[in-house]
Amino acid sequence: MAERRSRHRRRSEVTLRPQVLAWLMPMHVVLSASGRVRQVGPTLKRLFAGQRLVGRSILSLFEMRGPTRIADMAAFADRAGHKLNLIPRGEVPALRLRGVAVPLGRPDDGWLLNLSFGIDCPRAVAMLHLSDADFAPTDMTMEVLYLAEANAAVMGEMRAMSGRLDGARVQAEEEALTDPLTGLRNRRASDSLLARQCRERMAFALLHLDLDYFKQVNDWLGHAAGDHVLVAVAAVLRRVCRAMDSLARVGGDEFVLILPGMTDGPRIARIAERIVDELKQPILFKGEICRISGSIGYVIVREGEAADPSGVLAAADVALYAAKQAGRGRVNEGKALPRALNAPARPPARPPDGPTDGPTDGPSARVAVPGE
Amino acid sequence: MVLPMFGLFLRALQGYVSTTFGADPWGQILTRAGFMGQGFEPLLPYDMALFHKVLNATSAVLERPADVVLEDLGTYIVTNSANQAPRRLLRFGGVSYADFLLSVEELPDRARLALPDIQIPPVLLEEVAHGHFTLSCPLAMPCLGHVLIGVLRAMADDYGALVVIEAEPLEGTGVVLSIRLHEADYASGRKFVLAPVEVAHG
Repeated sequence: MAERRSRHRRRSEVTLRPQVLAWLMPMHVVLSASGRVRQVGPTLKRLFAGQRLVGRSILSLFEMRGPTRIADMAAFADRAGHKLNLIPRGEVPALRLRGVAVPLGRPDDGWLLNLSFGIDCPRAVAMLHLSDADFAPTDMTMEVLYLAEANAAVMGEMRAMSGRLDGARVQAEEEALTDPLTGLRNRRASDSLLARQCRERMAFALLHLDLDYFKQVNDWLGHAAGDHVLVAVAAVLRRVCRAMDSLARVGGDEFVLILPGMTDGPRIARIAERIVDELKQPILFKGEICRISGSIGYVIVREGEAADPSGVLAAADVALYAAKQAGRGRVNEGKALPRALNAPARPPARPPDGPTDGPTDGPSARVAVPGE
Repeated sequence: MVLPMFGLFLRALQGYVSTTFGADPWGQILTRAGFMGQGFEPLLPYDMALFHKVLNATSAVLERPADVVLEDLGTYIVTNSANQAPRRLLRFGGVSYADFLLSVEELPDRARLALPDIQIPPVLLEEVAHGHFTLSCPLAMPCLGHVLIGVLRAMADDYGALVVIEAEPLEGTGVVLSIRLHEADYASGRKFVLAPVEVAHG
């Protein structure tokens, strides 16, 4: 009875020649019962290039965990059939391997330990210069490598696309904030900066410049001459102001300059006067002389002062109107922001220190400057 | 019909035309095709009608038949040194050109691993005689066949194999290619190492 069972067991056993085993499991190790290497698969040999492995103890070749450290063959036997983590010892690439050991026949027949590079396979392929001949035909390593590379390619395209879209976004934003004719900022950009300055209660000066006689240039010499004048005005503003200042064309011949951190009244007056002086210089367009001038009203907002954007603009407007009333080509300071300006409702009915014949109904009165 | 595949083709066409012929012809092509943007994004889906417009415009501007443009495009996809990803991914198909041909059947599935929403029509390979294969895509638009010819020829050069590839005339849709593999090791071919260059240095 016992003999028949034994014969039956033998019949169901599979015998593999070493070459076949090497082909199916190129990273296997056949061990003696005491853990000495008897046979090694060809891909595993590449990991220990140049070393003689047969006869050495598996414990001297690998540090093994499963999950606790495996210090002797008794612990190794306990982990038979379970996953092992292995790190090769000595002067070999520090790759993490994964393996499983099974007993061969009776306990004293030894062990078959099969290994793989697991998640470390892309590194292993690079460090050991492996090719697909180093893997079993059924191995998924090639697919893993393929997928890793395909993912990297897709990710690269994604990154490139994000870069292109970001470039386009920056350009679109730039265009949305720029006056195309003069290259200065536009009203949207200026309003946005003014709102931020007010919100953060930062110190700044705001200058409102309105050109005089611009309409005449346009009417007599045509729009091309008008455009030429506006470009020349932009050049004057760039020359006189600092790079950090916000120079915006907010309407046909209206400009708003925001000078962050600038609260020095006399200095601001000098800047404004210099602009007005330079604008009086004749501008040549196709042999014709264009003469304009400009009027500036300005407001100073000190640090910590509660100002609201429409109030600041209205105060500058009122100051500008007063300058125009006093005769063109002038500069006028709206000396202080009246309390009423802190309320966003309506600008003051009358400029705080303007001439008595100033506008009586807020900023809209400004457009009614005679002759403009 | 809007398909992710056309983004890849349009971007490849953009690369092919602008690197081979320059930015001016490419600008003319976009204008002629009535496309307002600067170029195409490889990972965005585009309409088939747009692809055909751009293809016809390319054919007109470059003064060469659309079939020739498509074949050159297929070659460019494999040989473009600025983007080696397609060539490398195709080389994962096998160690020899014959193995590679067998893997072409897996191409739609492989593409899906990288880009899950891509729809590539099924490909069938049959060895009708020793060294003579037919590759058929019954659902593919005929224009895809010309791209495929360019790709397969360039891959033969890459493997160093001597092949003759011809499109078999068909009624209606679908593509059938006849591939005769005369010599698997005709020339030395290009080297292929599994590890991408960046990792190998790491």
